[in-house]
Amino acid sequence: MAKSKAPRTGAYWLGQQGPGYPLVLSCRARIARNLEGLPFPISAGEEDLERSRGMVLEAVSRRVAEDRDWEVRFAEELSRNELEMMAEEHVTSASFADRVGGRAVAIGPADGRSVMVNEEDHVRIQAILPGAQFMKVWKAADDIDSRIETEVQYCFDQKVGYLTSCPSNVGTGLRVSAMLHLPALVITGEIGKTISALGQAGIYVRGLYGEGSGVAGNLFQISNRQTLGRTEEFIISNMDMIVRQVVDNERTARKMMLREDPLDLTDRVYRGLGVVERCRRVGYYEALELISLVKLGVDTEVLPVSEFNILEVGVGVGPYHLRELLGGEAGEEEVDRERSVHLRRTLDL
Amino acid sequence: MRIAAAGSGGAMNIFCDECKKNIATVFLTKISGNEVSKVQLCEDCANRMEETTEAANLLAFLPQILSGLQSAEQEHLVEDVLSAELITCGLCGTSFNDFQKMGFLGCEGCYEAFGESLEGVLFDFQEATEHIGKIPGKASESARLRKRLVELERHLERQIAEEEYEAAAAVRDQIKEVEGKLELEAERGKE
Repeated sequence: MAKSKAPRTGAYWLGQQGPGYPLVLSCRARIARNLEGLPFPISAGEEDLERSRGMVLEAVSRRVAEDRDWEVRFAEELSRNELEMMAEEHVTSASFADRVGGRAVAIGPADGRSVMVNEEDHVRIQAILPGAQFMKVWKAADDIDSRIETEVQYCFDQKVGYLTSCPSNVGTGLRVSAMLHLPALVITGEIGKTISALGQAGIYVRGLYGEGSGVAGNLFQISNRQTLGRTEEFIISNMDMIVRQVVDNERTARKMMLREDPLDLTDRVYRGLGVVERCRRVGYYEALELISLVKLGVDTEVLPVSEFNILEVGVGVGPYHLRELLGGEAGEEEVDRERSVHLRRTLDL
Repeated sequence: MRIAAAGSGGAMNIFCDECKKNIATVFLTKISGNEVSKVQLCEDCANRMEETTEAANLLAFLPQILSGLQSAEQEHLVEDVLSAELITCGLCGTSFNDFQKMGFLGCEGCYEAFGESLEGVLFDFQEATEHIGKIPGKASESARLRKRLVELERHLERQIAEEEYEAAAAVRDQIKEVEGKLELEAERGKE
């Protein structure tokens, strides 16, 4: 793959391969915490937001970063494009950019660790790694949590555990997720059964950008729904087991496609490649669908295209990444045109 | 296995599924319940649909639970919910009604202020009401004991289910011991 010229805000894992690649692209553990005695960010005034930001960043700097190279970004000092690019890379959540006052993010030295301050909760600790490494991301996030906790007093209730702004996070405050590429399950229509089974197992299924986002490019983010009444270890091992099952289903579906109707598979992926090669402008969602088809063709060795990481290419053609590449102020049409060019360049076509 | 026909075979359909006139540029995979379908739309239709469906999709999960609660036949339950809406947190001023609308609590005090009403929401959403995970390093001794107690009780249930009665008796003793310590802690707290 040609070296992507797309700018990066800190998501080093995008181009890397981990266990379960190319079906499991990345995994994440996120811990939500709040500081005792201060209103949650949603109802906090400017002064309280400044106070909580100062306390959390101080704790991160003293206990987590120590002498290592953590970078702190204050939301109000970033451009709209920089904020949106961080969301496209999953360094911050999509809603982080909604309100900038009093918010910040501390980003670890190219290790997938970050601490978001004053988004929905005072503290949102995040660890992301390529592939399925659930225990590792949990340990990394848990370590940051324990370190911050030596400096601050968290809101904790003996009965319901760590208190969060939205009760959907109360208890452990732990949400663990995986980003999966499941084109064969979608094409064969089997994904319906998978989603239904996941729903019954207490697993959310969402699109590339989590809550409220549509599914595009056959990229699915799955995460635990319940955060209360389960231990962190249970949540982690359950997700690990569930991801293995989903990945098995995708592998089976790919084998079936190859065995039962190889012409259909070949036709689909070549059509995808054909559009990528010839298009002169392309929207984001269409591009994700095309990248997914081409990637399926590469994985099944049907297409003579060199290996690429779908997450890296997908994020690289995100509207804000392209806008940054074009100089910040480009209109939608210009972005769509650039996307078609950028896509061919990153895929070496 | 049957390969879904949409978009395969014959000429590739390039037109919008909705208006069938404009060229489709927006490609979506829709999940509704167990059904997954692909739709392709032109920009105009996509924008129009986004306005109607986004709002519906983005509604927080919590109000759904609460409206489910309200549809329950027992009248007193409806009354409970209605009176609960009026409760306001003394610390931050968030009302239960605000919480129902936004899905967010204003501060730690809301958990206590909304008490039972919130417990119902928690149970519906989390299918549990008690934390058994990590506790803060600085947490009180009783938090540790409570966690240990829940663990032991679960252990006991498992052993009874597996008819391991001797082991169960030993766990029962441990439970009594922890309960004793908890009482001591409670008394110490009162002093």
